[in-house]
Amino acid sequence: MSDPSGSREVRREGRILHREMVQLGVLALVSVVAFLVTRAVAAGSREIALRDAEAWYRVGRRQLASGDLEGAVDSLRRAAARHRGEKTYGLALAEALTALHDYDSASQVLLNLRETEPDDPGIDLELARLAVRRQDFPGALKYYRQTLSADWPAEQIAARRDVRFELIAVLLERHQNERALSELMALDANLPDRASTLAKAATLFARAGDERRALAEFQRALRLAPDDRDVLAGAGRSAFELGEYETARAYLRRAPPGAAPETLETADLVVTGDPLAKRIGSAERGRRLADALAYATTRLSACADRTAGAASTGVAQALAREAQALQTHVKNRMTDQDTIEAGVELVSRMVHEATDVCGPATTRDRALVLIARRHGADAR
Amino acid sequence: MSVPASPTQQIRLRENQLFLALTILVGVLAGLAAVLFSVAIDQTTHRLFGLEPSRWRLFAVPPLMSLVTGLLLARVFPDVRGSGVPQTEVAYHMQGGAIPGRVPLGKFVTGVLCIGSGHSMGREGPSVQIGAGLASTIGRWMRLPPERVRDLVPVGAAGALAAAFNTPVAAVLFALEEIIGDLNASLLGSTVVASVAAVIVERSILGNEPLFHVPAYRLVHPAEIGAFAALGVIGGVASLAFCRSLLTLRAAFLRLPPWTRIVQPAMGGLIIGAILLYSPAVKGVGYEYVDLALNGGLALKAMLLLCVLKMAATVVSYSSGNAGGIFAPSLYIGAMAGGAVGMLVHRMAPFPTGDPGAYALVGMGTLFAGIIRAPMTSVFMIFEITQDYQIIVPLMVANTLSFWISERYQPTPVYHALLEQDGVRLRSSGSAPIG
Repeated sequence: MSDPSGSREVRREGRILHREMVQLGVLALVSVVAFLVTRAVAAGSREIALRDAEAWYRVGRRQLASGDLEGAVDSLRRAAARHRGEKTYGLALAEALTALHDYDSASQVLLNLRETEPDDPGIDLELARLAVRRQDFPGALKYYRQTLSADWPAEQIAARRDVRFELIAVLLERHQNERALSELMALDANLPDRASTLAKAATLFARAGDERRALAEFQRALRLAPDDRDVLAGAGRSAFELGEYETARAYLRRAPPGAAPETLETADLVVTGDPLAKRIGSAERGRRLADALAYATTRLSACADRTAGAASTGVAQALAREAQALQTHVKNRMTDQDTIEAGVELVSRMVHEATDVCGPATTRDRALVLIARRHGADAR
Repeated sequence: MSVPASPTQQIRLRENQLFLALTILVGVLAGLAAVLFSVAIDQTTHRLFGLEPSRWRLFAVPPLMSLVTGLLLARVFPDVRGSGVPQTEVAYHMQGGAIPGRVPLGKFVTGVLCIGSGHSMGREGPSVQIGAGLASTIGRWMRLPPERVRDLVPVGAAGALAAAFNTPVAAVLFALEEIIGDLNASLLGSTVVASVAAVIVERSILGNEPLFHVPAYRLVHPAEIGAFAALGVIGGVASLAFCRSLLTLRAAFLRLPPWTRIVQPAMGGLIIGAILLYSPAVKGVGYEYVDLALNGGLALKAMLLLCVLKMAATVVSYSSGNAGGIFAPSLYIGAMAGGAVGMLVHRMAPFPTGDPGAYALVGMGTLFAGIIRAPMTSVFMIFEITQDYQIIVPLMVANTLSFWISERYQPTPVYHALLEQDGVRLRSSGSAPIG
């Protein structure tokens, strides 16, 4: 026989179970609808926040341009807070903070950005530049290296090259010429045939002290842009440093008038006043030596007059006597190779004495010393 | 052979399964409510103040909106003033978990209006009450036994807090430590489930963006522990100052004639308007400025000033009967105090020190430990924010000191003291037991 109270209980349990299932279904449905509504409202709110961020960014940029640095920092912070991880806003904020000399905060902003975009070379580059400003040379090197080793898109290869140029400039400012040269060598292998880029490399080679490579790069650039006056000036200066005065004079004469006037004048004096130059006759050698001796004697005697009674006067007088004796030789056309060499050496001694005692060397002083040095006859 | 389950066992099994399903749904709904609450506050603030509010707007919006909320709080939703955490504790401990359905709705509306109109209050406390209220309402609608309805209250609170702060572990601890008052509670599993469900929902809507961006922390010199200990002491004293001034001013407001209750929020709004005229940075929740303090974006003087102003503004907003919590303000004040201490240490210490941002972070924990008196929650909350184990040691040192000072000189925790002002005495009015 069935138990009526038991079956009632079963039916009651069944009803409760059914009700609970329906209620759970309703709650699940409400949850789904609430999720969709909340997501839509949150998306709307996000839109507002992004619009606000954009507006604050524009305000901050304006303030930055007008020099209101504190205002700019405030506005750009608001932009960055409303759109976290947006690189443009973060970089602008870091720029404003850097301008305000708040390097710690700028660094923090950039490091936060780097967390969201760890492979972005632009952020590493800004960190490198910031480290340079903070005089943190190892930090700068680290970030420059990270920038260079990042994956650059193919179309940004020129930008990557510019970063290497920037790194080389930083190394040169720190007198790390050897490191700079090795970076330049690495760069040199992949330089495009563009005059401006080659000239840039040449200038850096010159700053690193490798004038031979500098001149070679300038000449490569000149083959592409023969009339580029800045490149001509650079080539002229490099040739001058290498002691190739004729070449230097040729380049500098075509360079802009104000590019390196003193270098041009010095090169000119060396080329036209060198008694030991090739392909000139003995009369011309004698004339050039006589001119040099006359100039050095006058320079020394003017100097001696100004420092009468000084201990150096004796030296000057001895040099003057030597010069007078040599001038007599030259007048008597006794211009053999030894006499000319001795004369060049004597002139360099006289010029050194004059500049030691009476101060700054004139262009001609320098030219005469360079002539002596050119032939291994410089007294120093 | 397996023995068939008895009808009692079957019912209990079904109840457990139902409770598990409800725990997940309550977690989801509480999380959604917390997200919606947060978004609604942001939108209200945007609409009321715009991008660059004029001085007139800064001054007028808080009192004018408080007239509306004052009316709502006095006539329609009388039980949703203040934070919501003490009310949730009362509901759990003294009312069998019964929270009327109008409470979550009222808390949502008035909380959005109060915090959105610039009152210096937090959204986490109200979220807790909204989540708990939803859970209680759902439990009663499901016709659960009274003890099960009660059990759902901390579950809803944990879900809402987890979503509001994106810290699931801290939310669970908060529910156990503060709402239940027992870290050994049997509801650990349910609160964890709800917290996880809420955080999943929250992250799927807002993304897994941390609430604050914090600098990497590093203990630069062992002596820095001493500096963090000093910060703990300062945090404890600041917590005491905050709690005492809050209770004193609130008592003064409560002594005013009953008919003034309708305008008391507006009176507070008037003072807030005046403060906003001087410093708009104390407006609302203020996490933007906490982020700044954490990342070294504020000068020493600014942080000291904001610390004092935020404390004053929160005391006024809360005491005058507006709807909003003290969770976020305690973090704000802590960040400013900690950041200021960090800067001073950075400048004056004879040893190398870490970033002031790390001090701001620990400062947040110390004020939370001192004001809210939930030390485990405070440690895990900061740990969850930073996800950096190295911060734990200085954080524990500073939080313990702050907690100890606060407990020593203010034996009744602030939430319980607020209830006592309302004539309610919880069975245990001491600090939450640890462990």
